[in-house]
Amino acid sequence: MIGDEILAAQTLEGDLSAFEELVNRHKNSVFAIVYKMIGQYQEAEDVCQEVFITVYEKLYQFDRNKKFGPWLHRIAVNASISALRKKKKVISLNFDEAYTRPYEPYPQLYMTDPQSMFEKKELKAEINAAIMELPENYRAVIILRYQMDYKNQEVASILGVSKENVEVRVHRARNALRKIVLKKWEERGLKNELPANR
Amino acid sequence: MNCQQIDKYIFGFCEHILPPELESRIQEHLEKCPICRNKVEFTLLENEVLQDNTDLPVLDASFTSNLLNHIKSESNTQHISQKGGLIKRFRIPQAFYIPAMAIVILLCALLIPALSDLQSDIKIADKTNNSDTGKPGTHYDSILVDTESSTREMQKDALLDAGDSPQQGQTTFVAGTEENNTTTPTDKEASSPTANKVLKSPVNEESIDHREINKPPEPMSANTSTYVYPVELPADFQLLQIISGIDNELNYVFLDTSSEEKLLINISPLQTEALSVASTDKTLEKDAVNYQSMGEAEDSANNPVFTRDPSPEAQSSSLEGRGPALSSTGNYGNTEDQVSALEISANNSINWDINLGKQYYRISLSTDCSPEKLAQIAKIIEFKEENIHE
Repeated sequence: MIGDEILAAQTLEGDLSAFEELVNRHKNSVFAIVYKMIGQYQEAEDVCQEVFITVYEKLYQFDRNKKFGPWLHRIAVNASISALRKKKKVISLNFDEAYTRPYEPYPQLYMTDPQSMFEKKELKAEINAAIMELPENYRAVIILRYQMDYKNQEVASILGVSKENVEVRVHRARNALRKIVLKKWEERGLKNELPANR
Repeated sequence: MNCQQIDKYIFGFCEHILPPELESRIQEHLEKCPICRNKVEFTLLENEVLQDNTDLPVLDASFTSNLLNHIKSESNTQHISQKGGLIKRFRIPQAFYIPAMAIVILLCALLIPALSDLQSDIKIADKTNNSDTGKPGTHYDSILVDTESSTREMQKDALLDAGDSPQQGQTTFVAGTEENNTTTPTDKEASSPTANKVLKSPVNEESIDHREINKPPEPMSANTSTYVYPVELPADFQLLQIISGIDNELNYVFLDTSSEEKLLINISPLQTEALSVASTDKTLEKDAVNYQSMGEAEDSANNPVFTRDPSPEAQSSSLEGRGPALSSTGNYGNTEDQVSALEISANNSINWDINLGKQYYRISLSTDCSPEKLAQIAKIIEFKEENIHE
């Protein structure tokens, strides 16, 4: 299997099929980051396309001695943050819209206990909504650390910060996320039903 | 290990990234504390939800093809490469367009009036050239001609300034009568540096002959101006001022450096059109009679009679009523021939008429010196007429 860095070099030489291979390899991960950051499918798809166009244009800046994935995901995070900042100037984010799309959710949870599935489903919705309320830098850390399953050092290289800074950010982001979730459950009167309060 | 320490390490504990010793101590606390157990359980559930990507939507299958088509269409207009990227990097931001346009408009607004002024100056120079020579000339020639015109203006100014600020040793020539309504003389010598030096700066008194005014320059064009100026004055006399009066009248003020006495020479042209030869003779004859009568009267009043001591021929011609001899323009007129009548006034002035070429002039010498000296000056002084052509 040809490495990403070699495909990048071939793309620079004008081989568009090499770039097509790069897109097919990374489009899902890029879309996952963008979708988690933005929360709307259509907009995430547009931003995802912008990300790959930017990658194609800035490919000469890629250091072949480093991994292609983190460099690509860094572009995706920055593009998502830029899109969010532009969007804030126009309309406020509607979280409910983001999750009303008819996708096939939780296929694995069907195999578990319905009560457990319901709790996880409810909690998952609350957590995803809470993630969208986090600040952009906390959101990016949570997505990269847990959604993309990067290590703290990899997150640090993607975001261009130190590993210690990533650790601090992860801790603060998790605490902030929990506060948001607990607050929402408290508003619904379901605080006593939280697993942590049982 | 207490609950606060559990809160500090709970995320690491759930991710199993803590050291084994710390992890065992946390485990011991969790067995005793149900609240911290619930927290750990909730954190584990959070981690499970956060890491769950099963609900993520997938991109459309046409995403890649759409993206490549977009890139291909973009590549048709712009080759994306390292070089292209550099070019794109140096694009001017749109934020600079408005200030740049404003600067360009401002520069145009400043430069266009300056250019129009320059063109108008060139046109004026062209007109000057054409009016002076009657022929179209280049811009360079126009500027040269315009420079000569400026020099002539400077000469005129110097002539007028001579009456306001007299300078010893300064000599010049002035316009006496004019033809073709032209008042501005032009010539090579007048525009030459030497002529300017004579006109504009004081001259060493010992190095020049103050009796003779500088010769006017050579004619250059059909327009003619006539000048009359005294010559053959004693060397002690220095020209102080030249004052032009009405009707082309000229007044030359000289200073006798030996006695500090001033001499005023007034030259006023006479209207020759109104005088026929006969009438002129009569006038001159009358003047001569007056001269004789005045001389006899003044003689009796102990006022000496002064005469220019004309030659017997000239004196007889004057007394016999002969008209003044006509001399060609530009030649020195013989004083004896020019003097048709001679008057000596009681206030130390002498008046007489002369004829230079086709023009008659009334000469008046006035001075505060002795009458004898005035008579001697009148005897030796001569006048010269020059036509200045433009």
